[in-house]
Amino acid sequence: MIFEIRHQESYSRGELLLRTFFGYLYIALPHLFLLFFLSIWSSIVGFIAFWSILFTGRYPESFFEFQTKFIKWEMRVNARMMNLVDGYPAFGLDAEDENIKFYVPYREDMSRGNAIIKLLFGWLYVGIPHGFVLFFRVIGMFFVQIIAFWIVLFTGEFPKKMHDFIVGTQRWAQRVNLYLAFMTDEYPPFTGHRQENELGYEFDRTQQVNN
Amino acid sequence: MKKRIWRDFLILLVIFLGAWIFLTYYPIVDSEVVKESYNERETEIKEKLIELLEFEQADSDTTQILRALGELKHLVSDKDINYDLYFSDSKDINAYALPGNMIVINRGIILECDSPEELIGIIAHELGHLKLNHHTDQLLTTLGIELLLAGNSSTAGEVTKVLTQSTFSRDMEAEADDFAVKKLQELGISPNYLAKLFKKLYTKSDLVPEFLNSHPDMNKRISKFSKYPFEESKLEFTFDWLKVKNSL
Amino acid sequence: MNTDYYPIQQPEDLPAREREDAMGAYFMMFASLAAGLPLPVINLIAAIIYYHVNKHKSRFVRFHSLQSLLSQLPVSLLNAGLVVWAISFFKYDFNFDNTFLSYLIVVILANLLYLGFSIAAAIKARQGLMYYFIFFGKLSYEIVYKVKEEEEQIYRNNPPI
Repeated sequence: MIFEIRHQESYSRGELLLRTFFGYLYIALPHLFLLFFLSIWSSIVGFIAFWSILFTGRYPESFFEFQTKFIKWEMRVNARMMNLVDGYPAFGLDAEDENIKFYVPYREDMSRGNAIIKLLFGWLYVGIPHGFVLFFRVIGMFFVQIIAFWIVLFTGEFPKKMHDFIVGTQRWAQRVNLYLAFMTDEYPPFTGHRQENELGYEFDRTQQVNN
Repeated sequence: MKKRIWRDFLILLVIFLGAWIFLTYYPIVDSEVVKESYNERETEIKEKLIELLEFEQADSDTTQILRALGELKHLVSDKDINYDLYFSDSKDINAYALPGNMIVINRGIILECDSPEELIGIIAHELGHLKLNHHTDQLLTTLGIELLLAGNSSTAGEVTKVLTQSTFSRDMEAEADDFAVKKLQELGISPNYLAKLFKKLYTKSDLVPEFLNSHPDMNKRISKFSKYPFEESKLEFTFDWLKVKNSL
Repeated sequence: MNTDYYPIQQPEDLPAREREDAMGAYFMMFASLAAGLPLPVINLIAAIIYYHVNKHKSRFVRFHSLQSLLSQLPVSLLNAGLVVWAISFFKYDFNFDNTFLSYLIVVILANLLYLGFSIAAAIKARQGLMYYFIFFGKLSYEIVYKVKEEEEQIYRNNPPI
């Protein structure tokens, strides 16, 4: 899985303040309204996909594409709401965003046994261990966001380590989500770092996005 | 091709209607049987409830109060509803209607009534709830809200549920009040009797808060009944009301 | 047979992805199960959305989506009628009669038939085969495969004056 959010050289303080005070109104509200309906469709599609894996051993490709596009849209909105990138998230499932990279390789054969085990025991061997650690990590992320807010406000720069920490938490959570949503058979690792097969896709920091 | 499409449609329609009509006249389960078993179930539940809460049925000859209530029950009647009146030996000042055409009067409220006409007003009010199907309306509203919320346990949802489930709505209470007014006038009793009773209970309400909670807008209700001039009722009863109250 | 119908693709011409899309159409009836609400109208809405999304794909997929949607319509209507009729009993006392009970039985049977045929159709669709329901099959074929003439755009843009 490739999960990248661009880290900018400099961040706009104006947009930061705008997002802090009115972000929920002009970013979150319109997008969440649409995403709400898409999430209902996503759960319907996920439900059908489970049975499809059970009977045919394949996650239907159209449904898989829909899910990745949906997750990508959510990523776009979240990246802005968490002050990780500037700009306004684009609408639409097919929209492109230069600041976000999200790709899940589609596998032709999914394991039926895995699907049943995930359904019955997913909460036990994935939910509890990862949930426990992610709980603390998310609290940490919350504090890091607050500190980062003040740093960006005064210096216009987002410390790379903090940015990586926040993106890493999201990456970890997304891996768990993909595993439990029957989209991959790889057990999620206990880290937010990129794995070997995900290297080489980071954003080149010399390319700057001008706001 | 189009003709064949319509032919297929007619075939489907005929099969559907044919099956429906056939099963109406040669039923697998007769509706009478279902209704009977439902009624049996309902009487069973009623009997268990009466046993559990120790209600005593009016009309029996055992005690003074039951005989008096029986007489009142015959007075307050409605052609559509055949109800049973029950006495509950509880000092709560309350009377209520239950599904299954049951009206329960507590000892507490009987003691507060200075004359039988006031109690007649109370019975008429509860009869109004039964006649206007308020229980089923309640049920449907609850069902509807449950369906809309459907497993989303939010605070707003819980609050809505509690507010709609706990008592009849204010509109329903007002409707029952109007029914009581009509009934009292039919019997030649001035509705002002109920105003007297409610005024008395309202001044006592700081001692009995639950009465206030289940009957909001007491002031409005008192003024509704006060609009009618007070006249002594000319009804005669075979019992002495004071004696009946003392027997409790 | 007729020159005014598009040719039907044969199983060997249909890639796995199209077959899966066609199969998915018949699973929209489980949408209300997935969404958690026991309302029959959700199945209908899901079927409509699925048809709309897959309209622009190949005719094979479009045919199966449309057939699923058209057959879902009367089933949903019958179910809705059942629910409304049943609720009306609450209001006016339980005096249902044989008409209601027989309607109930017929609706249950209709649902079972619809379920059975839909699953059969889903299996056939996955194999790349066409499967025709009794009335809806012919209707869907007529709508999807009939060659329609393109109407010319008769509206032209003009300046305001």
